Amino acid sequence: MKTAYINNVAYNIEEGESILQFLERNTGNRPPTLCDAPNLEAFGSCRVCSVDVALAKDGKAKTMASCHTPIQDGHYIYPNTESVQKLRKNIVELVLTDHPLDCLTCEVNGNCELQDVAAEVGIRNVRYPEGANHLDRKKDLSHPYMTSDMSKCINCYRCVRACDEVQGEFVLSMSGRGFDSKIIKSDNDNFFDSDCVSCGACAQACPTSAISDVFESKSRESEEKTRTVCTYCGVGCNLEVSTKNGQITSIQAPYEAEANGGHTCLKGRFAFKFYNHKDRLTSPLIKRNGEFEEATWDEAYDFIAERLNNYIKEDGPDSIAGISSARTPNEENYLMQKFIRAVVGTNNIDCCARVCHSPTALGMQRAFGTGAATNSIQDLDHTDCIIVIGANPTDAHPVTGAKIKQKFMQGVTSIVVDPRKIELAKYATYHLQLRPGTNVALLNMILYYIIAENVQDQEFIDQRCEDYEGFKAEILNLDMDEHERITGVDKNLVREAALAYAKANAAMEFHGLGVTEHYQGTFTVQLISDLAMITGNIGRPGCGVNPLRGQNNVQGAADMGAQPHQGAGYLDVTDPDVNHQYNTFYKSEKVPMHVGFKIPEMFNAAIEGKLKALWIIGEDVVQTDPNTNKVMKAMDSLDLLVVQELFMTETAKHATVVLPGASFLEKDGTFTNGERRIQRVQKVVEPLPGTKADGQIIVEMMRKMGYDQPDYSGAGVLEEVSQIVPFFAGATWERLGDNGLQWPVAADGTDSQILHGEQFKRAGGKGKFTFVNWEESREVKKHGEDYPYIITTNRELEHYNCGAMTRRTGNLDILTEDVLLICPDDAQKHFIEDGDMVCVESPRGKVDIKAKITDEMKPGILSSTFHFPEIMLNIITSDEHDTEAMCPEYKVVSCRIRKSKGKFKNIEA
Amino acid sequence: MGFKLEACKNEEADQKFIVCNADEGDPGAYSDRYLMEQQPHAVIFGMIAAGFTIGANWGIIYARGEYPESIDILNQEIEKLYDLKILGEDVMGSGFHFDLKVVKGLGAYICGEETALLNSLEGQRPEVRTRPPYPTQQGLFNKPTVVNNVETLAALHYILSESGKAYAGHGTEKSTGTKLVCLDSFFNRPGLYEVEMGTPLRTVIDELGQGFKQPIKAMHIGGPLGGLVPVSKIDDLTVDFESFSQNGFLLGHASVICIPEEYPLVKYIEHLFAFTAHESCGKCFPCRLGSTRGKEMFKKAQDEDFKIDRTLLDDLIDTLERGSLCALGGGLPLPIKNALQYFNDELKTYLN
Repeated sequence: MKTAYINNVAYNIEEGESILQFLERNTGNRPPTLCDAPNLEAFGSCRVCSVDVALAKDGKAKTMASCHTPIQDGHYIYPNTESVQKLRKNIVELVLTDHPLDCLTCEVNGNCELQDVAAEVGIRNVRYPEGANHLDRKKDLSHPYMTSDMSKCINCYRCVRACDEVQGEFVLSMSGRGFDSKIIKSDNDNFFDSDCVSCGACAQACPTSAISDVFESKSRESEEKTRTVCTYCGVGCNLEVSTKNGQITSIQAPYEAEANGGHTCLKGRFAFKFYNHKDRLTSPLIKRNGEFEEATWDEAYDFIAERLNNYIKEDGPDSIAGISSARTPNEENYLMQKFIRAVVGTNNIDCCARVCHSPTALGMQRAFGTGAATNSIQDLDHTDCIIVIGANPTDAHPVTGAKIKQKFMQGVTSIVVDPRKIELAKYATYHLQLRPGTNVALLNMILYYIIAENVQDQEFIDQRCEDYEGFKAEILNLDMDEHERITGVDKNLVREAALAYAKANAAMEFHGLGVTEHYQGTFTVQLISDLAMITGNIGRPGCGVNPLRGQNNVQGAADMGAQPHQGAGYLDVTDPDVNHQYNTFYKSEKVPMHVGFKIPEMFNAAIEGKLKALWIIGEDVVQTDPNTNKVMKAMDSLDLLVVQELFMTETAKHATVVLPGASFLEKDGTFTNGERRIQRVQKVVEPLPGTKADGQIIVEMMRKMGYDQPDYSGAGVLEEVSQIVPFFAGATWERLGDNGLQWPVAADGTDSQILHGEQFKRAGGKGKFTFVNWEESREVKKHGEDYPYIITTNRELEHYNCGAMTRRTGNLDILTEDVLLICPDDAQKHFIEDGDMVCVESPRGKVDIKAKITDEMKPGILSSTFHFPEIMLNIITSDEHDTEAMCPEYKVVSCRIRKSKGKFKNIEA
Repeated sequence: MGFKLEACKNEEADQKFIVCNADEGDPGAYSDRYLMEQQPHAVIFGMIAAGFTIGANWGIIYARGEYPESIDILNQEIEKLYDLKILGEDVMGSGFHFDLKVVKGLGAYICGEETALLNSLEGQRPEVRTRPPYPTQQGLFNKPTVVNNVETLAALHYILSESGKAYAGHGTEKSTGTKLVCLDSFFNRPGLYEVEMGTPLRTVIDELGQGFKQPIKAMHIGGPLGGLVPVSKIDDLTVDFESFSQNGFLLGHASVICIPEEYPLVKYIEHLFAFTAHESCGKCFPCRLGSTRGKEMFKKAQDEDFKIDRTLLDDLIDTLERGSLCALGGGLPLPIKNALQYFNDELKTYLN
């Protein structure tokens, strides 16, 4: 064991630590510093952390910066000698010669690291005569969120490093030299015109108020802080929310959070002002004669209960259905499915997982036995190959996206499979830019080359898997030239990428909706699972199959049983034992044994008149589900549509009863992120007057329908959940703590970072190989000739899903509309210029949308988003869906385009 | 040099580099220019041999932009050597692949600092890197890299053809070989002289330079960060690293700039601060701020009724010396301390 000394006392050295880390670990104190930060590499610019280092006890010492000097065997560290103290004081004195002394009126007064360090080193006066300075630098208030006042900059480079090392955006840099060097944003002084993605990492890193945000997140004014979890995606960023007088003032990211390590994106950090927006619904509404009228809660409950009881009696419980919300906590999802199953008595419960990752859950269950990420995001530190299929994490999962991008830039082998040249594709070793709808063909090519070149992991296959031989024979029968034509990707490039993936020690797979929202979505997931198994990339650090879950709690909503074929804990509803278990546990006799409607089936049943009532929580199906006109027809065919919402969404407009729910900031519960991490959502502020926690609304409704359920509390319902969901067994509110636990959580609280370490979860413990041949999407088969273009839908960083929340924040000032991405060749062919309106027409309808000409797209392929109701892109998407899980095919829509003059909108309000 | 080559040779990497630091920025130094223009093959040979030793297939000569002739000559010679198959894919049939190119510096003194030079070569802002990792571990584009100066590389041919022992036979025990000394125009016979290490400074000045043209009070030897040698110390010094170091000076590049008797040292010190302030990369706080504050104080002391607080000046010098990240801020105090020691009478009127 290597030893070094602090003030002549011996301590053990940990491999690779700096003197600063050595001091901090052993004494609990670290030397004062201005340039070092917990999530950044050591940089060595301020020199304030200098300590005396000798090679013998009380020997001749040399002064060294502790942050970047490695501790070595036999070092004698003297961290606070008189000469060191003098040096620190003299450096800080120099800093203060070029820093405004307006502390009392400064945003960060009392929370300024320069102030703290100046106090710590004992500065009493600045002895230098007044000289040149930069106190006249102007503030930058150009941006909706980011602000800067560079007169307060101390040139510590923390912001530059945060931009480089944490986000990987390279917007901030140092310009000029010596005394006049200064921070610039892209090539100017203005955040708004720069390439800034508003992640706020620089503001959080800045030790003074040189870079901050409009919410003054570093001010000490708001002393109250609540830790909670972000609602905007499956990364599950931990947030530290500051409040004052019951109002949210700002949000920061805690450094020690395991899910996000001090980082978050502009949605998590800044897009919170929707919570008390004037558009929030604040009273139950009942539609009478086509107009919404305010009602009391009791009136609304009675109105609903009377009708539900009536439908149960007249048409049977299967005439009622519920769509739960993947944005709400596990506990509320649990209650919603319990309400539908045990109180109403039907399995007609589903959630938005249907339209995003239902094929992932099904495909991975078939292959591995469990429909969840096999590994953790932290595994990125142990991988040497990353393949990203049909996911655009730098926009949709920004914190994980930034981590993946950092790895790409650091040179791990990287493969992007995507029809668009997404940001990650620009950094990838291989970009396989396939035609939308050909994932299965492309994966079969990869599998073909792995088998043909004999680089599979035969030992893993033999010991851990089954059905390989038949699979292998089918794969080897495939014609690669034909597959090259199908996918539009050079087979040699596919071969190279396949070999790179197969030869990596640990290769990690990520996928998103570009895999699932396809005609062959579930099959694609099964092939991805084949790919991981054939190369032995399961059950070890740094590998696995890792779906990037869309909505923040889509994992949890499915875990809780918000799906028609499996109840809480993924138990098969058709199994008599399970049925007995559920009925006993719920103290009910109503839970049926037949599978209920999936969301698309609900819509069909409504149109056919079989479904009378639908209850939707926090899901804007009209704007976000495909084939808008059909969805609206379904909504309007219902006798009763109950919508529990924050805002009057496009769906809520069709409701019979609207119930004002509460946002994630106003209630307790748990979210489960994409790496199965169950984390505590803690109430930051009280629900807006007139609104209630959605869980409480369900509880009150259950009671109204004669079911005894205690008042809602996150901890209380979690306790109930842990008794019925096997992999939540040890998940108690207290145990979850700040960083949560990754399921399965054993009864003793032990959690699981990596699944399938020894055995797969399938019966028999083996992973299952499945061969699937590629089939052209029915959409293209039916309409490809008349509608020769394919439009594929995507997401933008600034907005979340239907945009109901993000469009009511400053994000709207950053990204104002949906646009059509089109390649220069196609634009030219149709005489379309950048910014022109384009009419995009599919067999379902047409929309007018502004063109953005970009080389991100290949000829024949278009792309757009559906964040804005002004466009309603889903008017053109189809109701084709995955053959297995019924996930809609948002990614392959046949269409034709022409330049249009005006703005066409085909909404029947 | 052997130490660096060995360290780099032992690194495992798919690519390594040998870099020649020819950004000769020290005012009064022109020995690199001489070698590049008059003996380019010696430099190029040194590069090839060093590259061969460590397994580097790329050599880069980072040449000072103000030396257009040096760059032209090197490029011409490199081209010829490519034609002769002494450079390129298969050096003289040995199977060793070595490419060599000249990169023109753009006038920043800090690029003479090896890590700033590497940043500059990468197209980055020339900032000094922290060490470790050393360039031999992670240098150019984070690949193992040896950075040597022109004079060192040029000496390789002699060492390899005549043996290290023969080379060590010249000079003193610790400072082996010879040194190129540059004398400025205050000498009766200015120019470049190669002397054996250990040669008395008096010999260089009186015999080679043939004395001063006009009365001189001090010589600034070894660049702006070298020591300020008062003429009274000439007889105490021999041209080698130990002698200069023991006497509180620095041999450095061995360029000699004379300070005439009538030139005020207060102005000279102001200039040294100004030079550092102008050339500072701005990364570390002591150099970025301290050099400007020093410049301001010495200017104010000349222009106004202002005396420099001696304690503050000592604190500033100490901060620069111990706190700076590289030799620019860290080296500036030496000549100032020499001046304060040997010319206290002249300077004390400006000090408190």
